[in-house]
Amino acid sequence: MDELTLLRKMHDTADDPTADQLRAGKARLMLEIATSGQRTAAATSRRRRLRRGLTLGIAATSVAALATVVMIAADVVGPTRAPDGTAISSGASAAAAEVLHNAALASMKMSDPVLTPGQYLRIEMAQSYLMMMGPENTTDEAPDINLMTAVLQSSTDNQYVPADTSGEWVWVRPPMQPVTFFGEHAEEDYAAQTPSTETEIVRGLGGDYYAGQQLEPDAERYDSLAGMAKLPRDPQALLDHLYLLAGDAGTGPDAEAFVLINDVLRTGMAPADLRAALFEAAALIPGVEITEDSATVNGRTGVAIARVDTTRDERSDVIIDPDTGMVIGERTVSLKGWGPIPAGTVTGWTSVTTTVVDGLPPL
Amino acid sequence: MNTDSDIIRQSEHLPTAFGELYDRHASHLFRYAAGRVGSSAAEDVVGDTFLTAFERRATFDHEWENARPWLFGITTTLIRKHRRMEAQNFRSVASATAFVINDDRVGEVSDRIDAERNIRALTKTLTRMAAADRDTLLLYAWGDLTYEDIALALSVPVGTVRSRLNRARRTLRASLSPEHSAQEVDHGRTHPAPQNA
Repeated sequence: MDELTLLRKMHDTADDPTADQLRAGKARLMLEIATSGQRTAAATSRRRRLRRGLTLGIAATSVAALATVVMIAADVVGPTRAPDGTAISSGASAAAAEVLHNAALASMKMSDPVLTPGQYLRIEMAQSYLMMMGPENTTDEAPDINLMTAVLQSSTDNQYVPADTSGEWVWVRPPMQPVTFFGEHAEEDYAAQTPSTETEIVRGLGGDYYAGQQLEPDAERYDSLAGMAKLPRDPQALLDHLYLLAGDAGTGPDAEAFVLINDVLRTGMAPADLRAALFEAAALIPGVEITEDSATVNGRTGVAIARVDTTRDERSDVIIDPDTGMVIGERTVSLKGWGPIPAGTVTGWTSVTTTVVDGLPPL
Repeated sequence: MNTDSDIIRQSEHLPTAFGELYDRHASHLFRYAAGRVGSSAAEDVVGDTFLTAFERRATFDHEWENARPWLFGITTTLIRKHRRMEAQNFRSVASATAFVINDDRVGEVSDRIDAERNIRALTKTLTRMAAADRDTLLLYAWGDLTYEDIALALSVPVGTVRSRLNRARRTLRASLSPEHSAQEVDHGRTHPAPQNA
């Protein structure tokens, strides 16, 4: 045997992919494609954390060998039925701008909470994700996305940020609960899963919960406390900065900038002056419109605003309370539908509330 | 029949079309990656390959109809992050291969022992050679890519592929026992039957 023959002999022992492995890979790709409408290069920091959940989800399934589970990285939610894309759009950008101006004014009037030592800022985030499921496939064929089922799950997690923000942050993440099923056998598929029932408690100095696992340092992320401190407060300068951050990501600078604004608002940690600047910056983005006058997320109702692009698969709304100017939450609406998800479905939402607490709860 | 290039163009308007590329190439990529980093890491590598490819589909060079070299290039880059795992995997593959060779019941006992020694020497050399040479060699031997395909996958001139491959094969040959290193059996793409003498 010459060296090449030996080398090839060595490769004879290499595994072919199992049907499960192929299916999981395909599902990952198709979900990435399905959610790519709202995905941006700039939104990666959020996805990175979520992808951890995704990996765990797949691992758990492989062990159970029952079905394919993939968490969709669209952490947005809302009522189970949402308006169909732009159809219910009730205003042009002037109307959206007015809501945003008012929100900016309201933000300016608010003072950020000041914490005394021992106190924590509690950031309560109610959220829903979509989980994709599929029946066990005994053939070698990749799964047909139309045969897959899905379940919208929700949970409410709490982050505790210490008065000294360089101290230890605590993140309490309870397991997800099923809310809405999509597809004929969705409930059966869900019953076949072995979803985690454990509440995960994660700690991290300065909010770096997964130290060493992130590709970029916390301080370099625009949606970290350090990153937010560096963002311009002048709306136009802020928007220019966001355009720069977005780079040449595929969906265009306006869509990217809106996603970035949403990312920062979602954290619940943006100080009042930054929130005001973000609202004013959003008002400068072409294509930003009111998508629904009264959208309900997590039981609270507000005005839904989004950058509307009907060529995209999904739309991300930010929901603002028009009276107080506070962000109620955000949601993602599937414009075109895919697999078991009908067009117009709210495929995810988050709703954030912040309060000052005198200490950590018993953990 | 759509070419890969057609599919990628189509996916610019209809992103779901991109899924077809997975069906066409995932198994080949997986086997190549599994040979290098083992089955479990291969799952991640191949998954990441397609996410990366989808994200970068606008950069695909449509002069090429077949996306396989491009995908192999992405996979190879991703594998480089798993060097330690690759070394570990080569060690266990060496044991498995030695077992298979023994199981072939071919040739004299001394030949089999020789084959076993050689396979261990081979994997050690493989682990130690320059990463660029190893990539080139394994794309050729395991990925079944042509010189032109490898040049495309690794973004180097074909001449570079040829010289890397020569160097890699020379290095491997030097690590084998004299009887084996004297032979220059094939440059083909099929798996030759075990030799009987």
